[in-house]
Amino acid sequence: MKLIFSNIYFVSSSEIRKALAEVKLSVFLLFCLSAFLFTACAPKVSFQIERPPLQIVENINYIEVGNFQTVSGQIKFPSDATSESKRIFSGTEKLLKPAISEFNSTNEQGHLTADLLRAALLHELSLQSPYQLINTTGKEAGFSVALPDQSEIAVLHGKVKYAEIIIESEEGLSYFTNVKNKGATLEQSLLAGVVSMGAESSGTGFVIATPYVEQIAALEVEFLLLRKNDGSEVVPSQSFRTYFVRKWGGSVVTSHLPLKIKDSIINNYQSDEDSSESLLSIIDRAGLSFTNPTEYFARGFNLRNNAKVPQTTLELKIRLGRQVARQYVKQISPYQERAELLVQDGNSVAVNLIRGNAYQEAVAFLLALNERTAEDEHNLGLAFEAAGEISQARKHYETALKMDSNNPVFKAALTRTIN
Amino acid sequence: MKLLNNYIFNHLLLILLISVILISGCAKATITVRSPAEINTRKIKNVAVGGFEIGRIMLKYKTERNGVWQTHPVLLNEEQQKSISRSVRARVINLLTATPYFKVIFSDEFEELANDEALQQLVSVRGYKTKNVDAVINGKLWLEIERTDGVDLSKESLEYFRPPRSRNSLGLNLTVDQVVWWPYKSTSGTLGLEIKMTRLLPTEVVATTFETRTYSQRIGGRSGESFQQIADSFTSVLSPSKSSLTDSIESSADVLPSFEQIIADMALSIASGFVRRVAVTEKVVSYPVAEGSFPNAKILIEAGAYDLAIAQLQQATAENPDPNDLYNLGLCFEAIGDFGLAQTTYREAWQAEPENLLFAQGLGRIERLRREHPQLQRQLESR
Repeated sequence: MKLIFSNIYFVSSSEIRKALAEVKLSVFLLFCLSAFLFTACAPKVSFQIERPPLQIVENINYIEVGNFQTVSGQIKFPSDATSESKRIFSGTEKLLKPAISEFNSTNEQGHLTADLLRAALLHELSLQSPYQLINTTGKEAGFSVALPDQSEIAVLHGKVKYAEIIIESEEGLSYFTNVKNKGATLEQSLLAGVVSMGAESSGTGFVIATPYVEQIAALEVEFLLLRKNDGSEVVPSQSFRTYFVRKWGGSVVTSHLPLKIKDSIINNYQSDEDSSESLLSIIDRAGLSFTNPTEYFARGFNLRNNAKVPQTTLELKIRLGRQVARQYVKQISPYQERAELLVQDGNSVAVNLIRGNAYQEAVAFLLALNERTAEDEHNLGLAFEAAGEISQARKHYETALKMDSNNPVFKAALTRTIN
Repeated sequence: MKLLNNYIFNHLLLILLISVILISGCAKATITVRSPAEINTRKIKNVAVGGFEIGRIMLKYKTERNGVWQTHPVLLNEEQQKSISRSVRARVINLLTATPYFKVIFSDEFEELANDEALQQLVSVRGYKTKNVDAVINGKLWLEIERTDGVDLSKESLEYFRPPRSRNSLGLNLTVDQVVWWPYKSTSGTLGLEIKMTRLLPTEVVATTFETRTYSQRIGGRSGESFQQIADSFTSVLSPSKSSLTDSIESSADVLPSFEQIIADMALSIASGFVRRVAVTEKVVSYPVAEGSFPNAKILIEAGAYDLAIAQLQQATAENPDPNDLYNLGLCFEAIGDFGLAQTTYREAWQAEPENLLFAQGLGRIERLRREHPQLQRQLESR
């Protein structure tokens, strides 16, 4: 509003025609503003879906954290990178020395990592899972008061392998410097640019030591969930691996890790890293400091973060530990997931409830209907899925597909729940 | 001229009027709602804070000259490490005492406990009888902070220009590439803090959280991180100069903070996160208010007089159950944190007008709260 106001005020002293044009402009701006307001009012259909655990856990109500010990040994490279390993090592032009050809875990590095992993696991379990936690330290002395039935307790053990390679060094980068005459023609200056780039890549410029830091790490954990009374496996033992590689400074293309492995790690394990942040979210943050100060501080918005500064090795360990902990907790505990699902044009009351995020109400309402169309069946499935009842959801998606066997949305919904 | 001014002024009024109507079309009141504790801590009132165990503390200085890196760890004796742990603990206590929810009991017995194991022994082996302490909070911390002094390298184009002095001379207009060394200083820190709340009777771990915060800042170096600079200036302009939670000195982007300052800032952030989990906190949200038949309700809600609004709305809806009034009543219940009543009231409103999106959204908000905080389910059922 301020903008429009000043526009008009400014114009008021000039001639009529110009003023009218400005008024038109401001009316147009107003329309834009109102359109923006309208869309801001329209509710977005956001689905926070609860997924059941990936493994079936039976008759367990309590979890005890057992022993997380470090074992030495090798950690395999990501599987999709090693498949063509011969080709990787042939093109080692951009590989820095010493080249990393394997991840070896040693006990010394692992102890701290195992402790951090235990903390991350407890965090996920405490907040996500329906289990009651007892004895979270892994030490023998537990709380002796009124322990529940031993068959309801599962003890979580882990074998941790951790390899960490931090390289702080320099590499000779070639800098080819030019003197360009501004009076030169475009072709000449382009040619000069090409020459200098070619010279730099072939290494004929001044070779100057350029500092860099590269962090490479791998974590592998084998989890065992055992029933306390008889030591039998509650779920089969599982291993999870995660990797990290990043370089600060130096050349972008060189690495101590073969390029193919590096790419595979970045694509599969670092997709959550997005340093780019929109200006809008920064303004949002600042707004949060007034409306909800607890949230502002809790989310760490009072802390600076510069992506050009290498992270500490502690953060690297915690990052990997958290990734593995999250993967495992999904196996044994229900978890939340954000999904974008399409509501079909069915019964308007039910659509209204789903759009308002009231899934359980929508389920109750739709089930009470005497007749349901294919769209209603789909929406009922959707409401079940959003409320975390996948098997019920599948049943209704199937019914919807039977009623309208060509609808691609119903097909997609059904395949989603089968997976 | 005057006529023109009048004309424009009239238009302006019209424009303002239209926009007011448009805005009020989706009238939203800013209301302060209580957000529930994420973890059910209803019967816990008196809390003692135990010691914070040290997982690892590492402080170091790094220098880089011509590609040669050197690291100088700061050696801390046990007492210095303990003082860091105590300063982190103090932050947690600070925030806990700031909430009206808990009463913090100061007792040496708990403060002196070195770690989890000692607490377990105190509680179970010796058969500890609580002196009005309902729960104990203890923690474990990992800390690493480093400060780096180094140099960036880049190729820069420098322009040389000299105008021709006479008609015969050509003057000079050249671009020369040069390699430039840009000294910088940077700091980065990570604090990982595991905080655990243990109920004493019956003995159980109520909640355990493990939070990490990082801090990194860089001064000097090659300029041209334009976006980072804009972002920094934005945050420094918009961030609160004075806050109720902290009285920390506004840090300048041009000076690296001390180790103590970084630790304090990170600890503050984690402690806020923990308090949000275990205690009722307040937040300001803007939820739409319905246009009910009882006009005072809106004013009362906007003013934050929820109890009065509830009393009046209950009376009004008893006589004439207008669904819009019922919705507003639900909003009041939501604001004071009575989610069970809020849900039933929203449902009544929705049943009267099942196609109203506003009412469905009210129901959805409560449902979402229950889904995201499974503990809340129990809080609701026990009411």
